[in-house]
Amino acid sequence: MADNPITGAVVMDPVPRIEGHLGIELSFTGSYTTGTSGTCNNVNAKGEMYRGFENILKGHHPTDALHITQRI
Amino acid sequence: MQITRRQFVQYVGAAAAAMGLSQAAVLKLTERMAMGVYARPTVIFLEGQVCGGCETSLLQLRHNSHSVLGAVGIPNTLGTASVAGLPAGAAENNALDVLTAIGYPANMGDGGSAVTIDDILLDVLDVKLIRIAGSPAGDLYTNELLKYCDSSIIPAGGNAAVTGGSFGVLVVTGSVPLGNGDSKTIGKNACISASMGSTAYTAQDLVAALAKRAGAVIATGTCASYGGIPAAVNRNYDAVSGRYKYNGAGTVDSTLAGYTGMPPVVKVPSCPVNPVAFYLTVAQYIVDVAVGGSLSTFVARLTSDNRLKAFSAAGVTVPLYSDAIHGGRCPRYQSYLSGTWAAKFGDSGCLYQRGCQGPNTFAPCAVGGPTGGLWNDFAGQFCIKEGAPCTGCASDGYPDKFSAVGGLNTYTNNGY
Ligand code: SF4
Ligand code: SF4
Repeated sequence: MADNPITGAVVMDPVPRIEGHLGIELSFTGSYTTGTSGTCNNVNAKGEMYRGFENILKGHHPTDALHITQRI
Repeated sequence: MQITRRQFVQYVGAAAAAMGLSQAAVLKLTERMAMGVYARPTVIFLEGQVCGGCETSLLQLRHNSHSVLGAVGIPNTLGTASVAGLPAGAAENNALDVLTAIGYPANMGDGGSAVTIDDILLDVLDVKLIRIAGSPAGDLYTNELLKYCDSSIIPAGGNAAVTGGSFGVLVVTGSVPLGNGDSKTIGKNACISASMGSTAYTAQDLVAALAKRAGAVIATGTCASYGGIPAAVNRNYDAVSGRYKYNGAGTVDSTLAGYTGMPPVVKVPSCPVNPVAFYLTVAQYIVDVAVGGSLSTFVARLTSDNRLKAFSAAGVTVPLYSDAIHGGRCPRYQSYLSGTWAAKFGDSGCLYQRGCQGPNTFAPCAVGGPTGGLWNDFAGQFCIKEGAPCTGCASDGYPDKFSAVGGLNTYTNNGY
C-alpha cells in the first residue's frame, strides 16, 4: 500500500485467525497517504454472522440449553 | 534466473513466515516442494454459520497412539517401516500411514513424535485458504477466494478477480442461510463470509460459486450437513408448523440444490466433526479420485445420504457411518443386554434410560470398540464412555429431534 492514497473507507473483511466472522471498517476524512498525515474519524467492528441463540432457546426444555449453548 | 538451493530455502522461509508457519514447517515445506512427488489436491475451507468447533476439532488432529486406529484394524506396523528418518517402531500409526502405504511421501510426520495438522495441511493436501488458521485478511483473502469462484454465480467485475480456476475439494463448515429472507427469516445475509470494498459475499453465493469449480464438496460437521444448531427452531413461534428458522439456516446440499453440474457433496456429520472421520474421508477421496482417477468409485462408497460408509484402502477398512453407535462396539452394550441401567448420571450401566440416542445415531464414535475409538487424543474417549448419554449430534434433525420437548429424548430430565 506504499504509494496508494487511501480515501474514504477502508474495509478489512474478513479478519482471519479469530473464531467467528469479523469485519473492520475505518473511515477517513480527506485522504491518507503513507508517510503523510491523515485522520481516521471512525472505526466499526462488525460481526457478520447471525444465528440467533436467544431465539432458538425460546420454548426449548431447559436441558436442551446444555447442548445448544455449547455451540455459541 | 537460476537460484541456488540456499536462496530457494530463504525464499520459501520468507513466504512461509508470512503464512505464519513454524521453522519446522518451513523445513517440511521446502522438502515437499523439492520432492514434488505427487499432485496434492487443492483444498479451500469456507466457513458458513459456524461456532468454530469444527475447525478447532480439525486443527486438533494429533495422535500417536497405537491404540486408536490400531484398535480399528490398522496394523501397528503399517507405515512405520517405510517412514524414513523415524526410529524403528515409532508410533506413526494412523490414517496418514495408510496414505504412506499406498505411496504417499514416506517421510511424512515430524520426526517420530506425532502426526499433527501441519502434516495434513502441507504434506497430504494443498490447502489454499483456511481462514481460522491462515493469515490473509480482507481484500487479500477475498481476492484469493474469488479466484476459485465460478463466474456464472459470482460475476467478475469491480474489484473481483474472478478467474474461475478448478480445484480439488471445497470444505464447508457451518450451515448456510439461504434466500432473500422474509418476515420470518433473515435469509442469506445472516452470513457474510467475505467482502471486497462495498461488495459483501454471502456464504450462500460463495458456497455455490466455489462448489461449481470443485471436484467434490465436503460438508463438515452437523451444521453443514444438516443445518445443526443454527437450524434449531424457536418452539414458541408456531405450534402448527413447528418451524421458525430465524436465520434461515440451510445445508450445503440445499445451497446447491438449484444448480446443475454440481459435484457430489459428502457429509461428515457430528458436532463437532470427528477429525479422524474427516481425514479418512479426505484420504478416501485421494485414494479413489486423486490417485485412482475415478469419482464414481468414491461415490459408490457413500451411504444414501452421502456419508462415507467405511474407509477402505491398502487392505485397511475402518467403518465410519455405516452402523449405529448402539451395538457391540458400545462400551456399555453388555449392560444393555443384561438390563443394567444407569439410574442417574454418574452410574455405570447402559445409559438408555438417561436418554441415550446411540440406537438412533449412525456415527463412528464407538468404532474401535470398548478399548478404542476414533476420537483421537482422548484415547478413544467419547460421550458414552465418559458417562454422558449420546445426544444424537451426528443426526439429521439434531438438536430438536432429540429434544426433551417434543423430541425423542424423554429421559434427559430424569436422574439429576
Ligand atoms: S457442527 Fe457443531 S461444532 Fe461444527 S460448527 Fe456446527 S455447532 Fe459448531
Ligand atoms: S449406552 Fe446407549 S449406545 Fe450404549 S448400549 Fe446403552 S443405549 Fe446403546
